[in-house]
Amino acid sequence: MASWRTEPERVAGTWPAYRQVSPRWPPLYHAAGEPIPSQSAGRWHASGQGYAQYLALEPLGAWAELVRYEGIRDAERAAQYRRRLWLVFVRERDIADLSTFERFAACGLDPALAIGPHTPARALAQELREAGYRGLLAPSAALPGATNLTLFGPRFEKVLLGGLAAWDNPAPDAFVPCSLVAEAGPPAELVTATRFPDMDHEGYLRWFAAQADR
Amino acid sequence: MEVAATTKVAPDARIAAVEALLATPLPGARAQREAWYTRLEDAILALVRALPEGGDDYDAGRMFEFSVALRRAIEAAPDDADPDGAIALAALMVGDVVRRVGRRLEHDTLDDPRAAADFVFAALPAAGASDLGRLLGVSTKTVGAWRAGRPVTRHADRVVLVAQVLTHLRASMTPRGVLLWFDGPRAQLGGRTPLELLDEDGPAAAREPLTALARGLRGQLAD
Repeated sequence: MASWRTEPERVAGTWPAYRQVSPRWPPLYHAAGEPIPSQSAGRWHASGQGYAQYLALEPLGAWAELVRYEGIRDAERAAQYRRRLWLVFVRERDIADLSTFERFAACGLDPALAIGPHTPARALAQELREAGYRGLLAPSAALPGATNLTLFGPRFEKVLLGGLAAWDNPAPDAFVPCSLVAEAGPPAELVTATRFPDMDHEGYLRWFAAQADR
Repeated sequence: MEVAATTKVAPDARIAAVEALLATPLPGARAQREAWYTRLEDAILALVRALPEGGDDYDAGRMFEFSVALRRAIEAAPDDADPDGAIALAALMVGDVVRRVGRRLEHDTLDDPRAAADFVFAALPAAGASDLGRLLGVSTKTVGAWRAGRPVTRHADRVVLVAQVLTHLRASMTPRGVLLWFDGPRAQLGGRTPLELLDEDGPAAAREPLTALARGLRGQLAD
């Protein structure tokens, strides 16, 4: 039995999203033929249990994930990074819309799942996969106000110079069109704007305060 | 499939040959496609022969599997088309395996402490003996001896681990960034820095958490 009281809304649509990646690797995560999936664990999947494509709907959201993961707390360190920022044009269906803390609460789910410890978040992601969802929208733990889009499973990139929205995708379950935006490092202002695991999340606190006022 | 192993040509040259072919735009006409596939198949066979375990290597089997899928997709597709994306998909899957073989062979090479030390020195060309000594857990005098080509006997496990971690870091940051990375407190390590983990727990205990941390740099995660 799933942990939600009401099933999250299933949405379909198109989302221009962003993802920063090592220059040595392709824009999306795929590793065909691996005996055990090698992708490092993230909020919505555990290591060894399949793959996930972690995307952000805002470019600063993508950079903030790097800043948070790497623990980059000063401008000197931020200036040392070289990453490729990709525009990923997602056309998907069966995405769980948990894009706000209100939407988590409306389903009977703890909104802290979006920003707190990973273990319960991974359990929710597993329930979503078992219920046939292909991904989820959720608030970014790294950057209050930003939204992450996570797709479950491997995807393969079709790298284009432009025209991503118009590309006639021959295998939508496998391919996602991508275009290189920049090869750069995280903007210095994210050193202070990013929320690290030992910090409060203003977006969550605002939601929490609003509940108390009701 | 039985393929004789040979060490006459370095596997990394064979890997580069396969990757170069995969990076070539697929020709449109059937005859040219088949010629391209034949070159790719020859390059894959040469790579497999160069692997230490030859055709018995796990990934050799995957390369054959995906290259067969690629050939079938080419045969099934009309000229100038890949209507269901099967050709492109199979080529990307071959590429995944080739890339994985390359990384594995690179790490195998770095299991030799002497090669690992040379790799660290080459990856951090501007680092002083003091910084390198802190990183490798030895004195500046020992760093000097290793730089001069003396055998790496002390702290060999740590040298190997640092080199292998560096393979994950160096594409994403400057050499200065690598040094700062080892000194940055990390939530994933309970607030300790990678260097503190190495110094306090030793390379055997630090191997898994440090490697996982560095591998996470491949692509964006939601943290």
